[in-house]
Amino acid sequence: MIDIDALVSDFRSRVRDVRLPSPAVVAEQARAGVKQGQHSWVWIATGGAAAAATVAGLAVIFVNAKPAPNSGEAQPVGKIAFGTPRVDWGMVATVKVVRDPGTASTMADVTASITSEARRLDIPGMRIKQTGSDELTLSVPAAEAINQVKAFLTIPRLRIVDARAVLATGSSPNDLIGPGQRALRNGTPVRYLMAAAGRPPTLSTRFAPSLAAARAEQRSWHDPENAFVLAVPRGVTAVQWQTGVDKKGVPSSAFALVRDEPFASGTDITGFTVKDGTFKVTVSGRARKRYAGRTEPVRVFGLWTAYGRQANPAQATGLGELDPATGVVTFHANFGYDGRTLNFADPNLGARLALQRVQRYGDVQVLIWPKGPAVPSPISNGGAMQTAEPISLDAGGTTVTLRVWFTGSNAVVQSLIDARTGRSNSASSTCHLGLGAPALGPSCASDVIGTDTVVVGRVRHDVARIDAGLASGARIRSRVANGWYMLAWTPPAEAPTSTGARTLSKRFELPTVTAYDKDGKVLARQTPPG
Amino acid sequence: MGPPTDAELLAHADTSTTAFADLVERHQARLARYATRRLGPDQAADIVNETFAVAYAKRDRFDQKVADAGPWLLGIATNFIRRHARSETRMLRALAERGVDPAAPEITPRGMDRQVAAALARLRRQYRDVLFLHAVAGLSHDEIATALDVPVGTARGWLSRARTQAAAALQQQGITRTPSPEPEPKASES
Repeated sequence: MIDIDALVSDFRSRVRDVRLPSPAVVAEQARAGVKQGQHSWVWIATGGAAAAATVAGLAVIFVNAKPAPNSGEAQPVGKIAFGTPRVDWGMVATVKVVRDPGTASTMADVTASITSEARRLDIPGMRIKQTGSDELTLSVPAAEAINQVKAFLTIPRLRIVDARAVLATGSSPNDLIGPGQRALRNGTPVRYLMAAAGRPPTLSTRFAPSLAAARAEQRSWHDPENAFVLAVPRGVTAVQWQTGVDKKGVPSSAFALVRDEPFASGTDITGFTVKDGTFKVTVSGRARKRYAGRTEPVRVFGLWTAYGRQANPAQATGLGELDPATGVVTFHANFGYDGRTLNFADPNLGARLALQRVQRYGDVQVLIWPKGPAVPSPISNGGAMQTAEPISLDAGGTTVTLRVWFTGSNAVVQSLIDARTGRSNSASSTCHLGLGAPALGPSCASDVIGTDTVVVGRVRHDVARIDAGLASGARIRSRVANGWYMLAWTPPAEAPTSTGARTLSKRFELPTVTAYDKDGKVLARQTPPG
Repeated sequence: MGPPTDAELLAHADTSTTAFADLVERHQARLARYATRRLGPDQAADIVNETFAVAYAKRDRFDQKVADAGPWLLGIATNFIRRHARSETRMLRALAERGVDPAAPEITPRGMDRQVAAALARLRRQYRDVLFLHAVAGLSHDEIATALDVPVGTARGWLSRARTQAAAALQQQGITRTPSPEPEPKASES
């Protein structure tokens, strides 16, 4: 006799329990999913909606839609990274998850990484939805251009490796070339890593299987001249972490090549405690299994948060001892984290995210611009297609006018025109508001008109006016229109130095800017026009 | 006075800061076990979260006369699992044919898992739903009917046919009786 119920009950009974957030967190996410604009995310057939007009060739679009109140069918609700979006427009990116050979990353790892990155970059309201076995869609609020989304999808790797796995360390990626070359001479199979020279140095976390593939990726970098290809022994990975900030505010980093040992991802870490200078990390049974029989201490690369400020996600935290029976890694050293929160939410990704396509959703209101008289673009970029009503502001004893041309790729051409001389200072740049849509974007063009400094940048659509000032009390003139701000001020005079020269520091002193909505309310999350 | 019913927790989900969290706490583990057995732990986490998100959105539609929200929640979860029906079938076939479970590749299948996977892969989606809801989530015929929003007779019939077809599929593989349970592996193997 076959007892089907018993067999089904026993089926997959050894599969590990899924690690769930606390009920309070689940409840909060559920509420946020409903209250966020009172909508659900649904797929609908394209019907010539305006939001889709700029993207051709896609059969479906992602839109905001009010839920059908009495619909019996469960509506798909995307996983919300955190918070409520500041704007109701952005991009939906379809992403293919390409797992690294030999790694066991899961979709849960990937979504946890993306969530962590969304927090780090302050992109509240981002949603993640799995649409295939290796495919995700991400709705990224306030993303205006593909490049913004691409940058967001580069996520650092974090690893736990054993103590002997650190093969090389250095203050720049160049220091890693030597070990790589030695490995080549020894005949070790290699793969290739893109690294950037200059400061702050960065590493690509993407490994290429061949030199040709690495070269191809190098050409695609925004600054290929300052990128080089690093040969990395197969089975080795690179980690980077922030070691501090120099006097100029530039973060300094350290790098390490570490042996690509079996690792525990962030989702394998089930808990940690900090007490009296000792902290204990508990890893899951799956991770414990990888360390079965090992006696050496383990190294933890984790992410830590101090007083609500996110530090570099690849922070080396030190060596510890793993108790294979309990899965607890005990760190006896005092890491100076007293009173701070250790956060291991950012897992090792073990995969790269390949952007397949993007689709806009919502109306990008800041790009709605009253059309002005047709004026040829000052820069021959082959794509400028829209002229706009200019903004003017008095500066340097004349009137400075900002004209903007939009191109098909959503880049903009700005031109600051001096009315007295007719001189034009034009620049072609992607002047985006920024992911997460702060009230004020950083300045994306500046000029010196007479004795005055003029800067321009983007503002969120709900910004009605701004107040700006310098620490010295210098008066700042400002104008907000059409989703842009424009500031002009006369830098305060500065006494000559002992050599008779005048420093330029005052000219480039950044103003303090406060943005208000039409009701006079101060808008949160403001970025100074740096 | 006993603890609040699920209906009461849902009714106070807006006015109480803990009511909905209490509901989550009551049902989270059961939903996770059900979803994990069907699609593996990675997708289970998403399904559990999505289930509670829908439950919160549709809390006003829950019948206040029903004390236990379990079947209702399992029905929502089953709706989400149906979106992965083809993926579920593929995973079951892979487990049956290759002995590696894509839903949990780190676990070595044991006992009858491969044969059961082959049988489950051949079942209609509705039959898989009722089998798992009954054998894993522990729902009765009435509760299955509530979860799937079908008449009780339909639920009863589906479950009966699911058992019959699964048994036939196992017999084709030479399985004619339920084997004795295997001893639990030692801790070091986990």
